[in-house]
Amino acid sequence: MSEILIKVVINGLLMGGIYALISLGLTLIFGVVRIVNFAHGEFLMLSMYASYWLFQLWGIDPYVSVLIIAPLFFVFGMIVQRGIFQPILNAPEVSKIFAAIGLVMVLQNLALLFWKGDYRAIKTISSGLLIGPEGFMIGLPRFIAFLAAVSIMLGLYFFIKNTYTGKAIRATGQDQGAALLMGINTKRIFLIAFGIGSSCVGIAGCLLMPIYSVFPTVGAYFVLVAFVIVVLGGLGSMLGAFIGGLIIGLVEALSGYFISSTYKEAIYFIIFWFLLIYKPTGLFGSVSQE
Amino acid sequence: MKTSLSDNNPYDAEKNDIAAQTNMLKKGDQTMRNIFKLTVVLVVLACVMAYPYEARTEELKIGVILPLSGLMAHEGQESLSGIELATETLNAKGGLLGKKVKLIISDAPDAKAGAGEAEKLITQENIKLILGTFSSGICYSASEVANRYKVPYFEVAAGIADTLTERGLKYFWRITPRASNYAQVVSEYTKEVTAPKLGIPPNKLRIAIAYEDGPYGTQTVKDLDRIMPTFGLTNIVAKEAYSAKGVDLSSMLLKIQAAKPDLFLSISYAPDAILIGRQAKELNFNPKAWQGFGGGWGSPSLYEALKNDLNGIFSTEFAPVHINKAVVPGAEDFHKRFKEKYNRPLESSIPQTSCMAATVVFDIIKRARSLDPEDIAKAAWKTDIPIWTTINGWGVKFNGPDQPHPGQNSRAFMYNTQWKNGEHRVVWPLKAKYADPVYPLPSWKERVK
Repeated sequence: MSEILIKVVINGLLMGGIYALISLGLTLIFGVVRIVNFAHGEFLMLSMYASYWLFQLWGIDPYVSVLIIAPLFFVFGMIVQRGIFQPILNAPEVSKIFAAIGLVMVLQNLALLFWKGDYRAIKTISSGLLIGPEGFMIGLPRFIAFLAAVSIMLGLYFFIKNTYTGKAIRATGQDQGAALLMGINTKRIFLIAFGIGSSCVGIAGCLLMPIYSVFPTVGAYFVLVAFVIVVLGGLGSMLGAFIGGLIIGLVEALSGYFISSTYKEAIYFIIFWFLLIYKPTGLFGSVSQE
Repeated sequence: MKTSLSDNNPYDAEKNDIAAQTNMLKKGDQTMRNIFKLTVVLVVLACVMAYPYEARTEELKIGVILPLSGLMAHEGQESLSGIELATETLNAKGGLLGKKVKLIISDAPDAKAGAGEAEKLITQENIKLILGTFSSGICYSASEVANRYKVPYFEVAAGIADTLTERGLKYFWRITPRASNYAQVVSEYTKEVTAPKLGIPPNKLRIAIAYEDGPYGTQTVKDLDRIMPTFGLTNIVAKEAYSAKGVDLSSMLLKIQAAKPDLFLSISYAPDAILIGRQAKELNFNPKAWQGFGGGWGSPSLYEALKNDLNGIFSTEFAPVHINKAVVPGAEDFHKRFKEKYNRPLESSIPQTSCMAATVVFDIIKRARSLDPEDIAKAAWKTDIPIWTTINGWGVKFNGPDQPHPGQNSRAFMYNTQWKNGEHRVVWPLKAKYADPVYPLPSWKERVK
């Protein structure tokens, strides 16, 4: 029994790593630019398709296409921010939400138009490979995704803590008005934050392609969890998103094993609910953030 | 007496009298009006004469409702290709009732569109018979509308939900099998083949079931609950529902693994089948036998994702390619024609199914000698095609209007196949066997060889 429990925990943590990978980008966007980017899931979907096609047409392994997709999505994120959200920065919250939802509809339907609704999956060199001690093997792609989540989290953490731009991002996240007064070009910071956030989710898409299938609505499966994790970890906190992801992954795995797989979502939404009531700033969020 | 001023006198009666002018107008325009009226009459007459001319041309219109866009676009297109091939063959032989058959094709991506398209086909295109639909949901609404207008509706592509033939519609027939046939075939196969090959009596065989929690999965499990005991399969050690939208099924699989099943039944769509395949490999879950249920476990995208990790897994199929050729006369010819027309080999059993079923419907129309609904109904009930005489091996005999599931073809059935190197090899029914099934399920390492 304990052997199975260990397996459940390992799988939960690996899944948590994947969730964290997706949430890291969102916490920047949500935490700094304060956009409820519902289209985050669609960005994931687009990057999964991108890596799918790079593999199908030119044989580029998704782990290599990360080098192409990360900068591509940085630019894409900046374009979305500049084109869609910047003009409505001072509009009521509800406009920004609708803009994000509109983006969801457009991206999903464009994907449906171009690539139909078929589920597409690829088999890369790493797809079926297993590593680990006998009896406790784990899938190589999942392990790589976990490592990537750790590295990105650490990289971003140090970037935000130590570099000038990183500090400017933190400042803007804490108080936009004060940041402006301090001479920070907040519009530029928003562009950078959105770009980095999109780049993260772009990398996540590449790393997920050897594991999952892609189809136009795949984003929806991940985006809600991502929001829960971002709030759980604290808006704008890299470490928070990572730890939050691991927690949710563990909760899902354990409740899936001991209760039933169909109630997984119910369990973590209940946790989310209590969190919002008792500690809305999340685990690592600072009080100045609402 | 006219004065000298009469030529430019504004009050001259003759030239300036308004009444006189109006009269002149009337006279001049009367001719114009007459010509106009005559033209209108001639045009109307021409149209009226042209209309029945269209009916007198050599064309018999048959409606087709399929999802050609949206989520099921691929399957809809596959279904259409089979119907088109059947129509081509028919027209090459002279058509039906002395006319060439023309398919009037409607795209219905969902149930609401299905009802709308049926309405349009019947009221605007004057369609008297409809073929459809692949999706049970779309079939349900489209066939309801058709029956209201007394237009016969034939399900030729899939549309397997049991509810479709539970409605008692007077003009609805389904040539494809019912969903509960899955449970029937699998239970019979398990008792007759799997249990003896594994050397375990049916009532001791440990069976674990994982099923997607939508209507497909839950209904199939209900059917299994009902049908398995009749074959002596009573030892169900695990029954786990999961969401087909799930991104991680490891907990569910670990639970199943902990129950140490001999036989693992997986009722899935394609993406969850891929996930189960991958995660089962990671967890080294290796039951002695693994039976997948159609939908997901037969799809080509599964092979693309898992390749030879699939070897040894069973899946239920409509019209597999690797079958004892003797029982499916005309199948090879069908594959050739498909490749010629569409420039690619067959990837699924959908076109073969819809081609066979469309051909059956054409035969019904021929025997009915008209498109009158009562004649069609009579001809349909009289249909008696033995199994093993068609391109996919099915026969046709519809349950009568007073039997349970009226309109259901009782001679349609699923094949059970085993994956080997990308091929579905038929193992059941025994008469259609292509190769002997392999037991027990080879380990993951062995499969990659």
